[in-house]
Amino acid sequence: MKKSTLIALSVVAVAALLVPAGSAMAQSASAAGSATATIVRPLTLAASDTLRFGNIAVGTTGGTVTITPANVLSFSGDSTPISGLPTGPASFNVTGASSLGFSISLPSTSTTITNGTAAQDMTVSPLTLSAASGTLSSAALGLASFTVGGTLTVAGSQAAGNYTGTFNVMVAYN
Amino acid sequence: MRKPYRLSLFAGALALLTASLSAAAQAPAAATISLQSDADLAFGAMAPGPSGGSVTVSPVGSRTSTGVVLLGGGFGVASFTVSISGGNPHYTITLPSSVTLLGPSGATMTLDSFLSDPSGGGKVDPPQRTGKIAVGGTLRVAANQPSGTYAAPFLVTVNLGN
Repeated sequence: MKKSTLIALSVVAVAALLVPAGSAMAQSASAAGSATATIVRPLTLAASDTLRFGNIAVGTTGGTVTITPANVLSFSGDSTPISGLPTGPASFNVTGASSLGFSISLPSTSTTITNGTAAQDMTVSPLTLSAASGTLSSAALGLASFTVGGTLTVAGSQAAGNYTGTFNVMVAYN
Repeated sequence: MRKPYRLSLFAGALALLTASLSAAAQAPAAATISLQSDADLAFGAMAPGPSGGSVTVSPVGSRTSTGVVLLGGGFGVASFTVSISGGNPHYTITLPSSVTLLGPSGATMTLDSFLSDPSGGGKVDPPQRTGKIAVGGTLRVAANQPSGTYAAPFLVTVNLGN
């Protein structure tokens, strides 16, 4: 007897494991973010001229000497000018990032100049700014400048001599 | 007489079973986790102080600094969306320990102290089964840090489970 030979071909089911596209593995997933930062050149501030009231002749009752940020010199009372010493506002140079704006401030609006004897100290008040703010130039190293004036009060009995003092000025990016 | 052999070929069931098998095909229920980046970690603009210092963007989105002057806005916390398709809604978060931001002419800054909200791990919310992860960190800025733009990618990983 002939036997039919059944050759059964069974194709075994093929199970294809599909992994979803992208970063999603079954149990764990990762994603990348981007971290960014911009560094801007910091501000520098340097004094290029001091606030100079010059040579002053003292009377008997006292007076004031004013230098404006625009370098206008004026006297009141019996304080009068004597030639021989330069006068002018303090001036400052600023460097920083191209074209950025900055504010200018005087932490204290009054200061003292002294000849070494505290009783003879003179007050400079107010100190005055040429501007409350500025803008650095568009060059890669941005530049700007400003001036500071003030009013000096002189006593009628003010002792002759050289008087000096300091004051602080601050600039900060807007 | 010859009788023909009858060969019957039965092509058995040709079952090309295409299945998308999920992992963990045993209780608890199978699930897939995915993660997508939605917003970058931006520190914004800054000017180093005389001794340098650091700038921190916190996971709640604030920016603070020590020894560095902060300029303008333009900063923001990184944000990611995590999705879990089913089963246990909990996941853990792995953050980098540090990355190096690359700037002009090979200058670099280190970004470390990564923090996330939620911290360490979290749980996706129904019905979408997604959650938001905020990521912040601390940037180290040198006193003489060259000016320009700095950037680097950083990788966040989430894993299924508690």
